[in-house]
Amino acid sequence: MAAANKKRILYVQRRAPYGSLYAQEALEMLLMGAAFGQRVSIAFLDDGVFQLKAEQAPSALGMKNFGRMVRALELHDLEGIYVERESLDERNLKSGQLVLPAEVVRRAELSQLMAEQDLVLSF
Amino acid sequence: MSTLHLVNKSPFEKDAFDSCLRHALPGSAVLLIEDGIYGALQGTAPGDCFGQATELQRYVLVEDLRARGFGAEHLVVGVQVIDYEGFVDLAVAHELVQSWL
Amino acid sequence: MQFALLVNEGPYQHQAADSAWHFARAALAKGHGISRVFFYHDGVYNGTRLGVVPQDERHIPERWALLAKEHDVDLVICVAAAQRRGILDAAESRRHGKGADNLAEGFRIGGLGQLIESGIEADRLLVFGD
Repeated sequence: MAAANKKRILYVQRRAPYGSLYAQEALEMLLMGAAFGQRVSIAFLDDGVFQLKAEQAPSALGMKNFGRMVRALELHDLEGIYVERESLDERNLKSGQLVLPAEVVRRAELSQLMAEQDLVLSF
Repeated sequence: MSTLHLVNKSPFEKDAFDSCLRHALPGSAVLLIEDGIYGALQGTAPGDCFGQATELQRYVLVEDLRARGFGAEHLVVGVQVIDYEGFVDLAVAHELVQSWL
Repeated sequence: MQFALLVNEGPYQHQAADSAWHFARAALAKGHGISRVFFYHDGVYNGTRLGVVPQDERHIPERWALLAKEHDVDLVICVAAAQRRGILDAAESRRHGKGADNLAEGFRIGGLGQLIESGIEADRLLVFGD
């Protein structure tokens, strides 16, 4: 498919992991949908930035390690992996504490990015 | 490109309303549905905020408003009350519909 | 215009399934099409046929099925989300040796690809969730 015909799809992650399954199933959809050859990006903002925290250790809960799932994003040909600067700051998270090197963007840039999509998927 | 933002959460409970208003670009539309309608009530902090967001086209879904015991007379100035038919028209008029869940 | 809808919550517990249905009905009444409704997360519970609903309440699964029948709407339950939550059609039930199935008439089980396809092909995709 020619680049011009590809749809820009943004997955918006605004929820923390573990407390609910939304984040995990959203990621499952992205990882599956990435194979469809569209221009796929993912943005972490608000509590969604907690999904990126390094050193997640849920084994005592018997739950799947979400941080490991997030790292799988790097194996896919994504257009962008974005994390919002203001959301990190509000939660006292540093970009060095993240499980993968996401592109840190200002809220204003992210707002612009959202508006440029063909499709925004929220969960 | 213009976006229709949908907010279905009470601003007193969740951050969807605040986050939407922080990210919606001037000229885009915001429609409050379900518990989101509580974000447009007069005499409340979120309502004041919504009323002052004059750079946005602001709408409230009347079916959800009435169901909860409120009417257009309870809303801040500048907000348009629409029904499901109007909701469909808004979705047609905007190339992108973004839900703030 | 062709709409596709994504429903992320089950019936009754949250208004999302109601809102999606009302939107679909309003869109169809205006001459638009609803190409597909895709059910994800707890939204897959919209497709159970075992719900016993009090007579004075709306029957959400039946309401979806009726809409699908009258307007040729494709109601797709995500297989991955459904398996986790125990929503199975006859074939899935046999395949996993479960001995019972519970998918309501009018719905079908499908993969995540169907949602992506809807997102690509429909003019608009609306997400209803919590």
